[in-house]
Amino acid sequence: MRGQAALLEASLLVVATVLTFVVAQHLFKVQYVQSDYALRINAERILIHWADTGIAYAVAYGVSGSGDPQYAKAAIETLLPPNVGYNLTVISLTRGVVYTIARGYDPARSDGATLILMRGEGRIISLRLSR
Amino acid sequence: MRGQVLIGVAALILTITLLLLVALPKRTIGPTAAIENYTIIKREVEHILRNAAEEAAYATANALETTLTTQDQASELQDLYIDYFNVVFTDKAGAYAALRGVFCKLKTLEVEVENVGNYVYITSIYAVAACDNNVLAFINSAANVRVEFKNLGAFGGVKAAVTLYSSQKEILLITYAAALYNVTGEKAYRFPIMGAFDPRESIWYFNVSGLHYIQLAIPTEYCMMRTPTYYVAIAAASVGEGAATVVVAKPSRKLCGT
Repeated sequence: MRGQAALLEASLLVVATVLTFVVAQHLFKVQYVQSDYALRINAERILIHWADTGIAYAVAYGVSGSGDPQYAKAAIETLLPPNVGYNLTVISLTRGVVYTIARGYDPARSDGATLILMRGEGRIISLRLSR
Repeated sequence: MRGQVLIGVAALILTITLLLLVALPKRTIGPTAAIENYTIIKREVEHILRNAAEEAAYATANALETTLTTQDQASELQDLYIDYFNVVFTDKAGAYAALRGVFCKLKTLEVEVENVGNYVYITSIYAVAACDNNVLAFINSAANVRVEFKNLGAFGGVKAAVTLYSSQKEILLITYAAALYNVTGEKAYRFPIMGAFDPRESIWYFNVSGLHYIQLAIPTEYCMMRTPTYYVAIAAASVGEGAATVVVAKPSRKLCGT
């Protein structure tokens, strides 16, 4: 009888130890949750290219100062393949959203980047891409 | 009894581990886009410098009243531009810090002004900004200006040939504005000629050669003066490329009529 109790205790101990190890490894696991590295890099590279070539100013301000969505649409769609969705939003630091354009955009599978321009009252260009 | 204690300890450890798993925030670290993040911030700071250089030119041209009554206009123009550059940059850097959490300071600002007989203009701007995240950005721009005065009969004519450079590259698209300041009795009064000294209300001018001819007409009431008391001020700047100049020209003769 004592032998059976010892065996049961040992089994419970093993179960508790194994469960502890199994649960504990989740504490140290790096989780790639809601982030798509490639999409973020692509969005950042597009914005850097726009900043270097002056396209960012045409997109964010245009000639009128209220941005140029037509130009922005052409600029982004020449760089992205049709299977990549996008959401491009230009925000004024004083007036809020200036305009938003999108194509096949899925927020659940997206990532992106922002570029801040401080000409005049300032603009934020937010570019999010999705698969 | 010893076995029960061991089970108790194991169960306690398991419980604590479970609680930690629930209580600790999920780690969503993943790989970071370190190079691109750095490049974006560097570009943004560089563009703050560029925008400050351009907007300071318009602000300087807008506030020339105070400098036109002095003798050393080259030095006054230089000081005024430096003051406005500092003001504009500080304003933009403050807003940027609030958005990105990156604090930048203007580390170096060198502005050169050339005096060519009857006109003075800003020939070069060199500025460096340093930020607390080790980002260092700079702009290096130059301007080449030649001003001619012409008698156009009913009107006086001013033709300024302006070429702006950013990092030794000619700027094709510029914006500009011009005004006339008449100095009487130690006070200067402004008369707008083209656009306004505000980047939003300036004239856009694209030329594939990079050489821009800014041609202005001086109204009859001023061009008839045999000893002109007026100055022509021109502000020209690139759009987001960090090149800008302010030209202050004073004719020495009557510019219209016979």
